Amino acid sequence: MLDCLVVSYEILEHTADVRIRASGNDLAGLLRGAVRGMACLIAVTNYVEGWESVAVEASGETPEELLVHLLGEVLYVHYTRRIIFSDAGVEVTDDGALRAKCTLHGEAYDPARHELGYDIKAVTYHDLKIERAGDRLSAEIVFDV
Amino acid sequence: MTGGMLVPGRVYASEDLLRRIREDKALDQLVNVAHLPGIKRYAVAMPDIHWGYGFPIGGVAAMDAKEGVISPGGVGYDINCGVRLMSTGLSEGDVRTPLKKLVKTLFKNVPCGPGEGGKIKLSDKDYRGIFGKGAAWAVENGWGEEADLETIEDRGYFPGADPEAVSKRAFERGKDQAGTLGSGNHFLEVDVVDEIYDDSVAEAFGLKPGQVCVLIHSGSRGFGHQICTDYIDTMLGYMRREGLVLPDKQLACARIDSPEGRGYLAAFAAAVNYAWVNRQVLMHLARKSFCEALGITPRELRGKLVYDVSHNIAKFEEHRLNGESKKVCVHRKGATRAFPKGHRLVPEAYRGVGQPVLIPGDMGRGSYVLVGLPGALDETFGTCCHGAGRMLSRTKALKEGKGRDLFSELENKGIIVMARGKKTVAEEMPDAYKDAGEVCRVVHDAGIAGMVARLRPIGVIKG
Repeated sequence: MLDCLVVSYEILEHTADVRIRASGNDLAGLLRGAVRGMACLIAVTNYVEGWESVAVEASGETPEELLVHLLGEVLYVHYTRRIIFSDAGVEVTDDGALRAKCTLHGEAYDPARHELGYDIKAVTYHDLKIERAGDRLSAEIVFDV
Repeated sequence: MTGGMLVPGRVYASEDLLRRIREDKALDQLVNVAHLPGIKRYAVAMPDIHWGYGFPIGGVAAMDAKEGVISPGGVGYDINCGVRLMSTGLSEGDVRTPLKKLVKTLFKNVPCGPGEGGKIKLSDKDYRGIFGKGAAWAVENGWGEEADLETIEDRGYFPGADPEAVSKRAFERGKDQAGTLGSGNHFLEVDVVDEIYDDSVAEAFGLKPGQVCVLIHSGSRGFGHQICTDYIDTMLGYMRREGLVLPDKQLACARIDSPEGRGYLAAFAAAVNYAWVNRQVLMHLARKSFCEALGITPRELRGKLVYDVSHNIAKFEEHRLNGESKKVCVHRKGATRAFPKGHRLVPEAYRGVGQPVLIPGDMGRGSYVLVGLPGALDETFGTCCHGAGRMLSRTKALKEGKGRDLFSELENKGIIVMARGKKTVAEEMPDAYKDAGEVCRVVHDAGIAGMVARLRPIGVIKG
């Protein structure tokens, strides 16, 4: 099944913060799902065009660290360049350390056309575990908002 | 106690609150906190405890200042998030008719909303001033009065900030966010003193029935968020090196007396001072807005800072343990310092009654002013609750709010609300929170902090 046809994230319950479950066929797919999930928390993604591309990179000692670091990079780009995102392409390599190369697709935030959602303070490691269920990898991620 | 717990946990709650507390993972998180090296006596949960990340929100842990650890997650991403209360010389009658104009003016002048920047652009020199002086830097630059500093926790200054310990990213994210409210549960409220529970203490705090006040809730914005993000990774590196394993990675920590611990404390101090500057500027913008909307002078407004408390913080304090005075690092994650009368760290103006404790509630039912009591020093490392505590998740609150016009519902109750996002108001609606009154009654009955006054909101701005 093509990854783009599978729902790659869902929003879960959390009392004070925001939690999503992201999934994908492999680690790269999971990271893409997580980026899309976070993009949807940041802004109403239905109205976001993919006119601009921004490349970000991250590394990590574990897949979980890679996930937190990559989302942290996306957050940093969002806050410092005021860009909101609709999708991302992700490639993962493992040369001893895990590395992700990610191309973010989005556009500059325009208050006349976009409504921002959560002011995400950070991506947390709380209860973060990447797990395999059948042929898919998934992870629950808590964002501090 | 479970296997790895070094100390027990202690929870302050009523039967009803305890039933709700058990509904999520907050108590598991309290158990996790009791695993932290160097923790003393017990891990404490306040009655507003709820599920956070790493530490529960409403959690308190005192670490041995020599052997213990410092945990960025025990402070939170929003370093020195806190609340300040300003009293005015106005009564409800003075603002009731022009209330909409007043709230609109506040909304226009106070930058708010996700990632929103303000008019102040901080240079390197400004940052150095903030790190070296805290809130006094804001006063020196025209945002407030010298007298304001007297009634800020620790006079709005935390020593030891080192720019070298702060990442370029943190500087970049913080450069236009001093004097901005933010989003989520942060707010600026126009309140009326609705009920007084303790006449003499209320008088000492300068509060009287019918008086208009302003309550401000914000923190260190992107500057603090980035510092916490940076140092959680630093701490994870430390833990790997030292072979330290904890039940939740989000509790990442390092010994206070280690390069990583010292580095975090130096950056943390910078963010603590930044947050005090932020709230100082926000109060100045509120004063300006009142004068602009009501056509009055600052002298007529008589905007006086009652107090400014931190509720995401770590403080080095002396506390009695086994009959001896011991220096500990008290982590207050969603918890407020509550020192009693006579304590040397209570501002002189309040030393005869105790430190004001500010407990924001929800935007419908109001907030509370309390005063620190001796029980806090005896039992909770001088600490009290910090708010109402969430009851509904954000997704549930959104479902509850669907189809309802919450702005009109609140306006019918005499509360004018303005917010950047409609979703924010649904998520933050009164039904989403526990009753702050019940939370306050628990700490009152436990002798930790005494109830002084209740504040009723009449105007709210949110991000």
